[in-house]
Amino acid sequence: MALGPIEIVVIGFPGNKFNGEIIPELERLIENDTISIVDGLFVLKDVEGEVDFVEFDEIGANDDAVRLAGLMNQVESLISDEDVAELAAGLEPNSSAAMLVFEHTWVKPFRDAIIASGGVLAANLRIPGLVVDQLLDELAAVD
Amino acid sequence: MPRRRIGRPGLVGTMARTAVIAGTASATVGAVSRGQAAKAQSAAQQQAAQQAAFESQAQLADMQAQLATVQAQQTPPPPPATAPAAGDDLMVKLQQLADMKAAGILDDAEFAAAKAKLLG
Repeated sequence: MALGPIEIVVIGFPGNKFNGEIIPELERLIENDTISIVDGLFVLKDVEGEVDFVEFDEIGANDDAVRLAGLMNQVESLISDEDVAELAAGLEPNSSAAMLVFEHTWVKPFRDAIIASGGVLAANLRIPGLVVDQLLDELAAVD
Repeated sequence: MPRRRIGRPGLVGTMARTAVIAGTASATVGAVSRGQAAKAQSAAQQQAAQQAAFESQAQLADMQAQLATVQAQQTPPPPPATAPAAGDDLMVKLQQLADMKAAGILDDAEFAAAKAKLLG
């Protein structure tokens, strides 16, 4: 079956304070077939702004990394080194970050239902929450 | 396999590249983007049309102002008030006839006839 829509998230931890506290929530999302992590890696930006990356399963004696590696349902290395450089541009120096490539697993049964019903996906737009907030503020000002 | 990502195509690069090649950065949002583009274009056209209308109105006003200036320049100055003040009724009537001829109300023959009658 084709993959569902893919989303890349870069979760930065300024000051290199990466921790595994996001992992239980990731586990829950995966358990619920909401997402699947099809690629991911760990990125480091040093104080000079130099970027390097390692695979989760290469970090070694780090329980969180091992857990993250275990959550991966890796399809391919979908993120290239150039992608890493671009995605890391917004990270502060002296940061670590988890780059995760989500597949929106929940879309697949919905997509199948749309196709089965003879429907056509005529438009699909993801609106960032900040934009929604701005619109709501503007609407409140209008009323 | 620490370097298996190097020099290979990736999601972000592919997204950027396909957007350049085919304008398909996100096929799913294409319809919406096109709709918005069409709206934006139509809004721009409307604005351009309004602008053009405004400009032609401005030009019209400008032309009218110019015309008024030209007319003011061409309009013969009113007959000197001294003529009637002189009390010469014949002169006033002759002047009126001349004005009527100048204004095209009387042609040459009519003017001549009227003048002949006045001068009787």
